[in-house]
Amino acid sequence: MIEDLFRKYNSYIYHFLVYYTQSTDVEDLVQECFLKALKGIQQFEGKADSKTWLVSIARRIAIDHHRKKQKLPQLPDKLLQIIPSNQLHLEEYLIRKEEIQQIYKAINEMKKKDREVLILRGIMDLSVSETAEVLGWTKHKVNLTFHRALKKLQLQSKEWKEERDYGVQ
Amino acid sequence: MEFNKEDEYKLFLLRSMPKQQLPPVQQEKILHQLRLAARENKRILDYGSLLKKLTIASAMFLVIFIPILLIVSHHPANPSHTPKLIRKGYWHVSPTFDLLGRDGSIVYKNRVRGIKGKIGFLDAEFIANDPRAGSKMFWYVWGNPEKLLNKELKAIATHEETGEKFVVDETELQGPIYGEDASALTSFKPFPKKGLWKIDVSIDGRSYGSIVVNVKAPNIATDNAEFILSRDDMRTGLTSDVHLEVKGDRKEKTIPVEASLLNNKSHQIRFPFILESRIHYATGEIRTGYTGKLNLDKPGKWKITVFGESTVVDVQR
Repeated sequence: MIEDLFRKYNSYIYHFLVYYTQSTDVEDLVQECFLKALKGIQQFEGKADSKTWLVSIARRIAIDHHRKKQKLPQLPDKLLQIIPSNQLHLEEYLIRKEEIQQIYKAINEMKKKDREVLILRGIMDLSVSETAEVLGWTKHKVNLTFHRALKKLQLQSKEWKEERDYGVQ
Repeated sequence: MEFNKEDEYKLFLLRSMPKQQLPPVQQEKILHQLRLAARENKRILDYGSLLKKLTIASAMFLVIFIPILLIVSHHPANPSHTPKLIRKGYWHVSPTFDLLGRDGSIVYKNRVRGIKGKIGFLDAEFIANDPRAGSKMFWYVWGNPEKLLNKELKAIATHEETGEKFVVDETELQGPIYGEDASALTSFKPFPKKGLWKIDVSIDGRSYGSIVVNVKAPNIATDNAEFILSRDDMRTGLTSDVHLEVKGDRKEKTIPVEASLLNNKSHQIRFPFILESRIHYATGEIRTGYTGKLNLDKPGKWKITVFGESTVVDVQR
């Protein structure tokens, strides 16, 4: 069962930990997460969605291991070259590369709670209730914080929008 | 909770952040550790209780997922009705409906225009010749994902009055963002004329549905200045701010906009427009943005003058 969970979710958890810790050196955290999951699997009992449960564990581990290490100021090129399947195509992706770096930087400059909700609800695409479960917040708080955090997320100067507007013509 | 287009775009970016993956060798290493740990655990596992718990878990799974499956399968898999819109004067603007998230909650209240359960886009206010409104468009499509994902969506628009046709959009469908089965972020080419336009959408070469939209008259503009305001929206007592874009990099902090009633030249109003920002377009063009009011007190034909260039506007009550 734990092997199935691992096969199904290891990429998802790795993806989460990279963005959450701003580091690519997170293999040991992934391993710790699934070892903890193995120990807790009896208590888990399908109470929650296994994905949400694993993200909760990974998040607690990441917080416990809060490292003093140098955080990646931007996504290294080698990570950017991974083309997200089913989402974007190469050409379009290159155009967005710049915006992706900006968003990565912008998120990491935000307050903790804004950053967390943007990662979980945005990057990880968790639902409102899943995010509420991971953070131990009410759904209302998730909605409100997420909404405000998106507003605060500054991508560029004011012109970014206009620039794109004409850029994509 | 609703998002505006800018937030929507940020969300789209967040969700398309590059997927990070553990290298296969690392995966195998961790799997090995897990197997060792699991063997250790087995000795203390109580199989009986685990089985019971698993049964409960799978029962819960069924209870939760069967209704969802029922709801999901309720979507018309191959919806066939396409409004017959041939004769002039018979076209009606397509309705708007709610966009639902995967969990069934409302993401956009009544803001998707098109054919419910089939195809639509996040609604925008189209203005003839203005690329802004259609610059960020989100298509949402419902149907069999296998026949949608990574397939070409082509949209051809036909003008009701003249029969003029053009390709308004060509894009490739990607995975869903919310409760739809496929989506695309794209931009529409500007509609060249005001009036009703029928957008015939085909996916992978097959006709999928038609959506009728209303396009407003072009913005009020002179050769060098453009108000971001459709001629259709020019009414008396307009109290909201109006944006004005002037070609080139202007230094004036304030510029005067003069309005005079055509049949009574002595009736003149001056509006100061205040410098807001410089706008760089990807085409290399630079414009200067100003903002001000165009609050006219009488209906009728007005002459509006910016930098000595004029245009006549029909102001409605």
